[in-house]
Parts: sequence; structure tokens; C-alpha cells
Amino acid sequence: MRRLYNVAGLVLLISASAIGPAHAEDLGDYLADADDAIYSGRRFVGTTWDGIVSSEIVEVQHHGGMSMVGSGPTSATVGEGRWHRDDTDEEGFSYVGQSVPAPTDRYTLVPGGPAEHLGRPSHVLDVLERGVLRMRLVVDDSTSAPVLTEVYTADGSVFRSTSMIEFSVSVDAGMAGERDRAYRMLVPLNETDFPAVAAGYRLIDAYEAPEGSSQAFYSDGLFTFSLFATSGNVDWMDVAGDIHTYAAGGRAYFRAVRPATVWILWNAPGRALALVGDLPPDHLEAVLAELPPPGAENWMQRLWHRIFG
Amino acid sequence: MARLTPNPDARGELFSAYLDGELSPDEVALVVAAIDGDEAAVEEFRALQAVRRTVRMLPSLEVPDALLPDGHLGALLSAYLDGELTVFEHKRVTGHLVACTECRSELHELDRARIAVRSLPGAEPTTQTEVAAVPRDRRWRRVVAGGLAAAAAVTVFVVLAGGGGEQPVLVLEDLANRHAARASAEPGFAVQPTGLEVSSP
Repeated sequence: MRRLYNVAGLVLLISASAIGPAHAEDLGDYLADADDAIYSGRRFVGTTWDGIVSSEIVEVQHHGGMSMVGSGPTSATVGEGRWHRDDTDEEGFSYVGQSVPAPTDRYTLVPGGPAEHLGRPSHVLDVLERGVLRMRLVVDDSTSAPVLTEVYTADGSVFRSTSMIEFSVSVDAGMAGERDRAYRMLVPLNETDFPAVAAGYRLIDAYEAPEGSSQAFYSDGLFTFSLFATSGNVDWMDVAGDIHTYAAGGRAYFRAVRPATVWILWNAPGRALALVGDLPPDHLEAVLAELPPPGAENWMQRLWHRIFG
Repeated sequence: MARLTPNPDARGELFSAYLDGELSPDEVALVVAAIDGDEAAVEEFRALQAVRRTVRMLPSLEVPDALLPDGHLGALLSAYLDGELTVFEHKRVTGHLVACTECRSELHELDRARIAVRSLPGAEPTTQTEVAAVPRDRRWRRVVAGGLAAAAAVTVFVVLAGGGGEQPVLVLEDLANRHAARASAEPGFAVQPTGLEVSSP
């Protein structure tokens, strides 16, 4: 497979878009049922944004609320707030969620008709935002596994597509037995200066992140993003390869398009910010408009931060 | 693959244990075999899922503090960090941590202590590739000046140039993985079903 961030992003997409059997009553039920599903196979995932295309085909196994994405030395396992690489004994991450997300009225769920995917009986589920189709899912009847997912932009074009291209109701015994691991626990901070709401995305909780940075986790009930902030400014071209300039709201950012996620990178006065998430472009632009704008520090601010942090 | 014994009670218990994450790999294989192509088993599995959904909607039953030593997690925190808890204990601990600032602080301290121990000489170095988050080879700029005013100017310039001190390190892949982990903690949020017409893209 690919780079590990792609793995993680893919699993994020899976967790954000999975649904379950037809008689579940809301998206939360579908998601919960999909967590219980047992399946494996190969999955195509690709994102298209302003002509930038990023796609990949990955192996996936899902069992017990955990997804192992990739194979051999490059696989990673994600689920239940945890993440770890499979090829090392390094600690993984394990998040302790703080807030219980409230139901959202931003989206409505419309059960569609029966369908078939890879010869298996399935059904369609549409997620609407103010009456406009935002996501279409095809769910395997037998396992509750999401076998096809499409996310649409505001103008109705496909932004991201995820599709099982091979599907089996089985998992490797090694995957099934993956339980005992050492994890670095991440406990929510009691206070944070991140905005409580950004364009309909609510701040769910915030955590310490590496090297004195911090992470804020946001969700609108369907899509999610994390905002990482570290003090000082960062030369993003030096840190990240394969990034492009991006203008939103008259402001200049860097962006990186990955198969299942997008990254937006910029420097604001006093800190560097990185947004990682699966939200579509119109949502992203609205969110960025409510976050600290790009801008360089003046010499007084730089002096202040160097001295006092 | 061996088929599951068609004993409804035994199958139900196995499904229940699977949903609770308590099965061994061999037992998971039995569940897989039972579900694959067996409509009755699929229906039973779904029914059990529905029961679990209903249970999830019930008001949470908090573990009485009296059942915890001093009302806090105590030694369970170490077991938590070491990944030694059962599924039930894990849920109980995470549930308590959400509400208890004192235990969260203790968990932070324990985690820091573990990291400190691992950083002692002899501990294995990390294999993670790290990329400096600020321009490498940023050099001190040499300013030659005389007099007190010039010296003060040099001091300010050096501070502004970012010299001295340890540079922060960011690994973008690490950030993306952290986001994926946090996002996976929630299976999803409720979206109200309606009968609206679909606007096809």
C-alpha cells in the first residue's frame, strides 16, 4: 500500500461513512452496525479536487470495530479511538473521548432502494444536506459493510469515491487476534483556545500533540477534521512534499490531496496550523474562513514569542 | 472451515461474545463461518445488533464510586496504559476518565513517567522518521558591531532569527494518523431520517 497517512485517512473515511442494515433508524445506528461487521477485501479510494487526483487500492480487513488497512509491512490498524502500525512494536495512540456528540440536524438520511455490489445484495442510503445529496452509500445487506461510498461537492460532482473491488466475509486470524498492544493514551485537555464552532463543525475535544503542539477535533455529524497548532511558524514546503498552493476566501494556503483526506497547511501570526480531514471543498472553505487567517508575524510578535513562547 | 454447531443458544452466545470483542481468533472464524451464506444466522446476528442498539440508547449506568478504590481508578490506570484491561474494564476506565479530572491528571503523570523511563540510556530509540518543522541549517547570523546599542541590536536579531533552543518537530503522517484514531472513537452521530426527494448530482 501507500504511505501510512493514507491508511489512516482511509480508515477515517470508512468510519465516517459506514452504514448498516436497512432497519437501523438513523445514521448512528448504521455506523454502529458497520463497526460490528466482519469483512475483508480490496478497496479503491480516490479524491478529485480542482484537477488534482489522488487514489489508491488498499487491502482492508474489518473486525471487532477495528480496521486493518494495507498489507505486510505497511499495514496499520485503526478503530475504537486507537491506531497502531502493524510492522513494529511501537506504541500506538489511544484516545479517550471527552464530549458526547449531540445529534445534528445538518443532514437527513434517506433510505434508497435495493442494489447489488459485486453480486451481493445491498441497499442504498443517501445523506442529504439541505435537500441536496451530499453522500451516497451502498451497504452490504448481509454484513452491514459499506461497499460503495461517494461524497459530492456543493455543485454535485464527485469529490471522493470509495468502492470495495473484492469482498469476502472473513478476516485473517492474525487480525482477529489483534488485541493486546501498548498504546500512548491521549486524554482530553480541560481547556483550549480553539474556536468552539467553525462553520457548523463543533469542537468535540482537544489534546496535546507532539512537540508542544495541540490537536482540536471537530465534527459536523458526518465529516470530521483535526486542527493541529504549534507555536512559531513552519516552512511547510520543507516539511511536506507534494503540496500545492490553494486560495480560499482571498487567502493563500498550502494543500495536499490524499486518497481519503485533505490537508491544509498555513502559518498564522504566532503559530503554524495544519488541518487534516475528510470534509468536502465547500465545507473546507467555510471552515477556513472562521479559523485564524494566514499571515506573518511582525517583528514585535516574533520577538515576543521567542522570548515568552 | 468448520461450521458452527446449529444450537441457537450456543450461536447466540458466540455472537454476543463477538460483539463484546471477547472472542479468540478461532472463535471469530466460527462466527464468520456461521454468518456467511446462512440467512438464519444473519438474521440472528442482526437481531442481536438491534438489541445492542436499544441498550446503547438507555441511560448510562454509572459504576458506583464505591466499587472503585477511593472512588478513583488507582492501579487500573497502570493496567490501562499497559493494555492489560479486559474489554469491560477498558470501557469502565474510559468512562470514568471522561468525568474525573483527578484520574486524567494521574494518567498524564503515569504516562509521562513511562516515557521518561523509556528515554533512559539503554532504551531503544524510536524508528520513526522525523522531519524538522522549521528550515534546517538556520544559522546564527553574525553581526559585528561595537558599543552597547549595537550589542542590544545583536541580541534582538538573534532572538528574532530563532537561534538557540530546541526546534519543534512535526511529522505530518503522525498528525494524520492521530486524526484517524480520534475520529474512530465515535462510530458516528445521529442524522434524522426523512422522506425528502433526492437531488441527484
